[in-house]
Amino acid sequence: MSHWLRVSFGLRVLVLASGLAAGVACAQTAGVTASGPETVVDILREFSGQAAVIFAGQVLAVRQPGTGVVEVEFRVDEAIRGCSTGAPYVLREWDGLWVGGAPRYRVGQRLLMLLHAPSAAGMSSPVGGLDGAIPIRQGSAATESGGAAQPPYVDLRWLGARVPRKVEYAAQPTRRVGAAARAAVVAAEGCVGAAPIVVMGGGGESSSVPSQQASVDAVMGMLKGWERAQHEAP
Amino acid sequence: MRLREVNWWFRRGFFVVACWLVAGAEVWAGGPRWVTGPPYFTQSGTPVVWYTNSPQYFTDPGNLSASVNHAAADALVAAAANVWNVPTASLALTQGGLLAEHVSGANTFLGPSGVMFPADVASSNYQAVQIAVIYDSDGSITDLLLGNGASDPTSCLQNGVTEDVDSIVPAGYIEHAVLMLNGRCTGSDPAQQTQMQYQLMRAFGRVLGLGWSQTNDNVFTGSPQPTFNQAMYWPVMHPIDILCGKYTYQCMPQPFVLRPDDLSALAELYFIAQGTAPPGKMDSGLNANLMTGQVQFPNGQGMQGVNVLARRWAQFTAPSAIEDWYTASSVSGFIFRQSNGNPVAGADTSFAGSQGTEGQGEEGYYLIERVPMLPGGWQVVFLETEPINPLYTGAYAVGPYVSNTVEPSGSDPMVEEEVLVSYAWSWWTFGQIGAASGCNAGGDGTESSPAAANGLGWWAAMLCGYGHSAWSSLSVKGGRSLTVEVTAEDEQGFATTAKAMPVIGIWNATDALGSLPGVAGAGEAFNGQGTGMTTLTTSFAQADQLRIAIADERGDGRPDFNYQARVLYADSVSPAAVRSAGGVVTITGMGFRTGNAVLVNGVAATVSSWTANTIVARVPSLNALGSSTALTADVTVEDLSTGGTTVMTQALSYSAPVPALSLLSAPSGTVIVGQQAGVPFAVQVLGGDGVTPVVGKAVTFSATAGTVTFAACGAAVCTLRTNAQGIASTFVTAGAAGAIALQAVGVDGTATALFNAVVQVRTAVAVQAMEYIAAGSTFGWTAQMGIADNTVSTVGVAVNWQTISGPVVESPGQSLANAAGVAETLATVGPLAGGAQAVFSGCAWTSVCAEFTVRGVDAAALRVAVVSGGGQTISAGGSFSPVVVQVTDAASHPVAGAVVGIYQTVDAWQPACPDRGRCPIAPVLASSQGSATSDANGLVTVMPEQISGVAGMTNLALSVGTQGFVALSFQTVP
Repeated sequence: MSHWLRVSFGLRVLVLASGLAAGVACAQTAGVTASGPETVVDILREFSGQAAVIFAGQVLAVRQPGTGVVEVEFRVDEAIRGCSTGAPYVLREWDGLWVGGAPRYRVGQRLLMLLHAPSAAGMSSPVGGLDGAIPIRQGSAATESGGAAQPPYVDLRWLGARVPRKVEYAAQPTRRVGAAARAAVVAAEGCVGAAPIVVMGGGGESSSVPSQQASVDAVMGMLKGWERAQHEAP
Repeated sequence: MRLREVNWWFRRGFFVVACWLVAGAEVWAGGPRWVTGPPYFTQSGTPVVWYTNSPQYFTDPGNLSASVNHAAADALVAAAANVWNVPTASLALTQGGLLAEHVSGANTFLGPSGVMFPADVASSNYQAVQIAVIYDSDGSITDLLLGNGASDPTSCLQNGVTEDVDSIVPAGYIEHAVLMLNGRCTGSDPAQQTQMQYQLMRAFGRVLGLGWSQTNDNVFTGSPQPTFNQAMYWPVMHPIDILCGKYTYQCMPQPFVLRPDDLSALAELYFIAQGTAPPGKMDSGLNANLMTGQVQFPNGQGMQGVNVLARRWAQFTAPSAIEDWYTASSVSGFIFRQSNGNPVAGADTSFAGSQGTEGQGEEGYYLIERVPMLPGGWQVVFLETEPINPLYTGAYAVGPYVSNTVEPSGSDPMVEEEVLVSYAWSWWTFGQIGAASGCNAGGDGTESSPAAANGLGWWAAMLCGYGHSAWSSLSVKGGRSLTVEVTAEDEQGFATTAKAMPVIGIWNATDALGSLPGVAGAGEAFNGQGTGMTTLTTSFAQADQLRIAIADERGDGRPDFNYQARVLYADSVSPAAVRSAGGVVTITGMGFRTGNAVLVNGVAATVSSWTANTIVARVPSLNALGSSTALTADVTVEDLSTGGTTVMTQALSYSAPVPALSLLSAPSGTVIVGQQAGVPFAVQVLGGDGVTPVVGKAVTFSATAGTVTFAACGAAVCTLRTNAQGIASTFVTAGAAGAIALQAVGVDGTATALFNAVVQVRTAVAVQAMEYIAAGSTFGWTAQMGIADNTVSTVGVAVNWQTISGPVVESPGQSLANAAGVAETLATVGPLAGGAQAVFSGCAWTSVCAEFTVRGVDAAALRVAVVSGGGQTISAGGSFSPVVVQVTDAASHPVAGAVVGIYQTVDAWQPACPDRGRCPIAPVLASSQGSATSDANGLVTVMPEQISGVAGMTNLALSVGTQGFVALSFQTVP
């Protein structure tokens, strides 16, 4: 019985697959209209406005002294607000954020940190949860064949997920099967939210350089610009 | 072992052999937020759940805000909590009452051992209050814990609700949790409260022990565009909300309805075994199917971190009825170790390092606890696989790979199917198509017996086998540094961060086995400049024997964890000492490649060649290093593309800068005896800086072999003083043939030079010194003369032609020797009487001459003889060849300019004479006469006459002078 069903089903799958391939998805709006920030830059600026401490740095140590806080020591490579370049910065987080022991930061991590001001108890956390601890990723090394090295970049994909968008439903599904499903997931890394703010290297179409990645210089330049504008504003 | 653990493993044993079985016992499944494992937990491989199936929450007695009073707040909390009270799970989440006081910044503070809440909120009070729900009406507690401004309404999506599970005991149970509701996120707009209810609902899910889930993830990614049904099956426990406006709850349909995937996860944690459902509940497996099994590499190792999804098809329906959405999912290896520790960082004994069982059989294990049945007695369920969205890491992690997702190996397998009835279990083992199959890590060495590092310093290998680490040994000299670079690669050899997370450790060979790196360690992956690269640079004051380990940061190991390793190490430089002016050195080591730079005390050297083991470079001068005294310099090899460096400290000595005598120029090759060489013998004395001339220094010039005269003093030995440019110079004349060795000696050094002296021999030879011409004639003769010089080519040497006696004119009067060393001129000679002579000569280099003589030949002495072409017989259709005759004198010397008379008749062809009677006379068909003049070799060419196509006899007679005659006959036969 089961064997018969399997053979029979195999044939049916073929029929189904061919039918789906011929189908055309027809969009149907079923959500609400987007409002507020429209780009990753808007999100970054929003975070910047909420942050009292902004810097790019590297995690030097994570300490849990048992006092209800977790101390995360950074080397500040470039300070924007609330700290000094070159000086260490110690973020003290409520240990409740480390529930279950899951490490929020790893020693050696390079991050662009946008932090709330420390509370009276000295505790703080990133703006927008860990979305305010934005990873700074490795670039790519130059190749012997002459390929140019790519500088480190800021990974803004999680901020991209915060960009409001219309929720629209298709009338017919686009079946994702096998490798196509994988490709869709990989492609979707850069599909969430708005368009990239700065496309590095070979452009956003390259699978090795997904969108919503921007050079550290570009992002720090924007943050500095906003910082200056904030101080110059009457 | 506790009963719960016994049940879990007992049932899982059945799973291995069960396919098409009907369940009859309780099971645990996937989707938990935490999974027990050693060393923190006392049991292993079980989801962490509440110690009671009936945890109660207690609410703050105060108001939530000015807009939401206590009653409304309690209603909001109840609505959020009640979502989790479902028939298919044993959990009963209810309100137990009120907290003893309104919790605020006034009674909450940071104490010496942590945040101090009122006593009844503390975790120690878990038996009375399991979940404390705090109404942070003014946001002061949120600000206290998360930082000033965290409670601001602009941060409500993140900080509207804060959850804290603050007591999980080693037995694997949750005992206590706190939920804080930020009152500043409520207000006059009811949607604000609805949004808070939505966030609280998800927070309750986390507090209950549920992990995030990835099911119908295209609803989140938008690619491909989702359908409404896919959104309806997008779990409430999705990791990241969609933002479509101000409130996220508006971005999914029916946001307060748990999806089957949520229900499946909840049933995993709070299972109701068959036949044990209390009133108001139902068995978790009733009208549902359980899908479990393995995702494996071809070698049988489990493949962790692959999302397995279930899709349904109702019985007796057409293929078009197969659902276009996934119902539930599970991540392979979800109960397996998340962190295995590694040799570089050591064992991870933290709570996070205690997540998951060490049982190797669980590495690829997945479990979808509850796939609800479509209408009917059975259904078909398809299982598919997909990677985890790379955004789902850290706080958003789905499955066991928390710090970084791992791209599955191979492509997704074909869809499988099952026909399942209520309570049925299914076991499926996935083999990813084209997944990495090799596990060739045997040559890696072990900690106790490391393999010698690759001699080139470059090698590729894989971290294969769970917990595998690769160990190499290497000897280094003191005063050296090296860089180890390890780049994770995928199956195609591309650098990636989605496979292994390499870490590197370096030990002294004498360090105890199992110890942390005694020399250096890079315990965090991807700290290098390139994608997927981990790098470690360290230095050694003393010679050392090293152990180098490469491992995965998580302690993982799989057939698709490829890596490229490199040890960049400069071991020695040769020569180890150079003069102050610098010089060429060879650096020996490993891990070099084209483009590597060499620096000496930070100053760039000029590299001329690279191999993996050597670099040849010209090191800069001491002056370029900014020093005027001797020093020993550091030599650095740097890979500009990766930042890798290796330094040989104090490895290259520079001698003190002193004045130096150096050769500027000297005769070389072959020089002619008696002639001054064209190039002077010159030396220069410069100061220690290599730039400033030293004036007035005595330099003695002499020959250590051979005989010379120096022009500067006219003697065989000269002592000269250097001039303003520091130069002493003299021309040299060799006095005898043979090898000559010169030297210039000063207090600052000696310069030498070698050349060969030869006596010059020049010759001129007439190619034909004697020519004869017919008396009375005037003849033009090309005279040629060969010239030779044993020291130099004679090409282009001028030869002057001139008359010595007699009637001869040479034109041109001067000509140049050709490539063969021959010059020629046209000599027009005559007329001469018989026996008279004319003489002319050609002279090269003025005095090297050859004579040419032309003599007249009397007409009576002329003779003529056939050279070729006599006695020819041809057919009527053929042609005669030319006849060549030569005119000579009586002594057989060829005579030029002689006029030869030519007489020809052509007779008709005549058959042979008859035996009797007279021979008939053949008629003459043609006749002619003429003349020709003999050439320089006395030759005359005559063409016998013939009548085309007619047989006959040609008679030829030639005469010259008064005595010369020859007759010939040629036959043309029919």
